[in-house]
Amino acid sequence: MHFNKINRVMGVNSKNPSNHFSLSLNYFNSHRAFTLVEIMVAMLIMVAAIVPVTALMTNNAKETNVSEAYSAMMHQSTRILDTLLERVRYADIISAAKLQGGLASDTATTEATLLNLLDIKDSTNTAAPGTAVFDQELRYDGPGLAAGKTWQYAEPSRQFEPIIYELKIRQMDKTFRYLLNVGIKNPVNAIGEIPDFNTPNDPPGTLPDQKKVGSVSLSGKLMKITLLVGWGTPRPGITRKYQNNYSLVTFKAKLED
Amino acid sequence: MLLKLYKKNNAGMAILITLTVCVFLLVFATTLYQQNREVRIVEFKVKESLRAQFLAKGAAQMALLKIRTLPTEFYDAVRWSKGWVDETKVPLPLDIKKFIPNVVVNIPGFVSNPSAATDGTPHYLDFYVGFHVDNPTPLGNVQLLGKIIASGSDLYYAADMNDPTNDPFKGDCVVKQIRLISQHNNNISDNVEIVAEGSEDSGNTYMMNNSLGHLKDTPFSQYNSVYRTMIDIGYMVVK
Repeated sequence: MHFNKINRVMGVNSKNPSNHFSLSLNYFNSHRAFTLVEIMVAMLIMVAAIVPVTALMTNNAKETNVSEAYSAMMHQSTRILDTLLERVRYADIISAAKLQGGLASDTATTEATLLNLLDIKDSTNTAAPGTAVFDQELRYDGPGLAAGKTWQYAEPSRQFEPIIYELKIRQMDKTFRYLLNVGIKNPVNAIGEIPDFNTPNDPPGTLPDQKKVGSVSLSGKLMKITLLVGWGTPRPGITRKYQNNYSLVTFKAKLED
Repeated sequence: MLLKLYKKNNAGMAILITLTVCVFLLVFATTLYQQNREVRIVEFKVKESLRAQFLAKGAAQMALLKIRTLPTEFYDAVRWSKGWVDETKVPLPLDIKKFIPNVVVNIPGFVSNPSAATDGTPHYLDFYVGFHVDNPTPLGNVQLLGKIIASGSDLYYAADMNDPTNDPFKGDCVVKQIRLISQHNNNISDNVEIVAEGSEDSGNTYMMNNSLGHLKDTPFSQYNSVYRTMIDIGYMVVK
């Protein structure tokens, strides 16, 4: 039915041509529907409300992804460092550093970078000599990156988003002080009688073998281990190698011999 | 009022409905934001605690290295810590270690629980004094022992400061306590309990200040973690 006809039926004065369109909307209005203005205002409000919520949800999804990656980074970093501290021989790490990181000698104090953790071989594995310590859990053969250079977290969903682990080691010379076991025939019966390292109470001219404080210097017995972890392609304009980064520092002592 | 308006005329109902929907969206968005924020803060703190934990583990390695290097001096220190035992008065079979009780050592400034008269005095712990850094006037760190990171010392370690893209941080570590336990007639099965503390400072006061109302207005960005381990040193101290 044509609008003019509708208007006539509805008793609208068709001789008033000012706004047939709005008059025809009156038809819907008279049936308790929405006006055009109402709908437009409502749509504007909805758009104003939905846009920031959508942006927030998008951001939340990204953050969740990053959080999962960080969880994976922390989980695997913990495993790597705990393994290095408790299961790997000091000499095996040094051997890898000499092979790949350019470490000059067993006692060199220069920093060496291990880009490939597979170079750390388990010398205690006599059944299969030369087996990498992290052979099973960290080997990555995915596309786009050289095999053995990067490491993945074992979670299948991240199979092709490898997390990159680099190891930096630097041996530190260390001096330990101790109280000399002198005067054994003169029992010390009170804590106050114990000499202090900083004020050993040795009178001037005390012979070396009679000094109460001694020290020993060590080389090639302690290393600082820095594990650098990276994940994700950097966003445009960011000069970092990876979008997300993490690092852990610990120390390992040579206790095996 | 809405009901009256509805009965009278439906004009404006679309806006009312939309606004109602928007309120629900607002609640949803607020919840989402809050959860997201909480997750990020928790994750940040876990990251920091891991760093402090591994620094503490590193300190324990240093302690083991010292025991490994100076086993005789370690036992001497144990004996000194409780007062020297006159060997001539030890009954047969002349095993002096039987007379050495367990040992707890304190660092300067450390207050034991319960407190003891010797708290804070540098006695036996001087065996490990080389790991210790302290500050007599701590400002930022009030949650544990009043220990604060001091730069320029041998306990100041920076993670890849030459490459700040790798999430650098500052940290240090200290051995707080060594306890010689489970002694027997020989040192084959001697054990030590090592308690070490690691501190790290990411410099992020915003993340670290959240959800810790008991610190009130004290800003801090440092995280401390204590590591405790029990290790058989029998193979180390036998030459």
